[in-house]
Amino acid sequence: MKKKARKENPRRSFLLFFLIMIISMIIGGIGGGLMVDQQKSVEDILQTVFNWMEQGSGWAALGVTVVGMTASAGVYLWCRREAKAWDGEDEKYIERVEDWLSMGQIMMNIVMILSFCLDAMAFSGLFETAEEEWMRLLIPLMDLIVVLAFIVILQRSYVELAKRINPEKRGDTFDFNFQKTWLESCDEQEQMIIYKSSYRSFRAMQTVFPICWCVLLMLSIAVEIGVIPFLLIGVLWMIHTMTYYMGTMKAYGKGRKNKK
Amino acid sequence: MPLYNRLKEYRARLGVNQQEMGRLVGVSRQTISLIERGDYSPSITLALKLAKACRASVEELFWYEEDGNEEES
Repeated sequence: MKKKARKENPRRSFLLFFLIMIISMIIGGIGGGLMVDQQKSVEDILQTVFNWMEQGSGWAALGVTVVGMTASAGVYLWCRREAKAWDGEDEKYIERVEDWLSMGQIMMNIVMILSFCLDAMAFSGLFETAEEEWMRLLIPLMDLIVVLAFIVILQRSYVELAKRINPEKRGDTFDFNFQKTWLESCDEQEQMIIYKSSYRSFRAMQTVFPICWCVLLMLSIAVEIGVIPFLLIGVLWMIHTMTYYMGTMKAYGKGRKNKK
Repeated sequence: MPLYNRLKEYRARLGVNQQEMGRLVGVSRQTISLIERGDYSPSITLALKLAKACRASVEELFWYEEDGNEEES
């Protein structure tokens, strides 16, 4: 059932927006003031957290990889068995398999992102590491190699299984144009889902980027974080925004050219 | 305005499953499933293809309710 469209009230919207800006300024001001006032405590806490992360992240990454990849591989094997047993008629049966196929891929992607980040944390500060401590970097290095290998194999397996269930799908995961080919093999409904999800992701990131920027700004008052985090946020935010708007302009431009 | 359809009924008359129907009109099994459940409204092109595959008119296959009154051809 469609939701009733909310009545637009520009005055109310503006007042709410203005109120949120004022509250944000107050919170930011208090937060910034506290950071300056308690700089030593904040610095100590953050330094302890950073040290723990650098020391423990290699092992954490290994743990995430082992548990996550086992779970994801388990889901894939279950889906493969169930898909083989499908009679081609029972629609509810295959829909349940496809739901689990999606869950397995989500798990795999979460594990990949977490492992990559944790391994990178373990490697950070390598130039300050004493030679005798380099052995501890073997763990995140091994984990990175294992995760990469697993992702390549498991991703391909998931895609091939999806293609077996839906023979109209095309694309080779080893092809750099895989995502384009896959999208082209999707029908109007599937493409609509991809576009809607992409827009949802765009909107989420448009909220996340300024929040990250704020958090980094607050941190930079108390701790030396350098300029790299801000450069990174700026570049990512810019690419993210411009890709969207350029894409929209291109799509509208194409539509106008097709009009005769 | 929800869009209703008799796609499942016509598909049963033809004796094809969702995957075969999808193949006939060039869409996936999931799309056929979503259309039958009323969770997806097909484009005009797809609606025409479905009507042709079912050997019916678009109006016999799809209809919508307006202001609580059922509209059927």
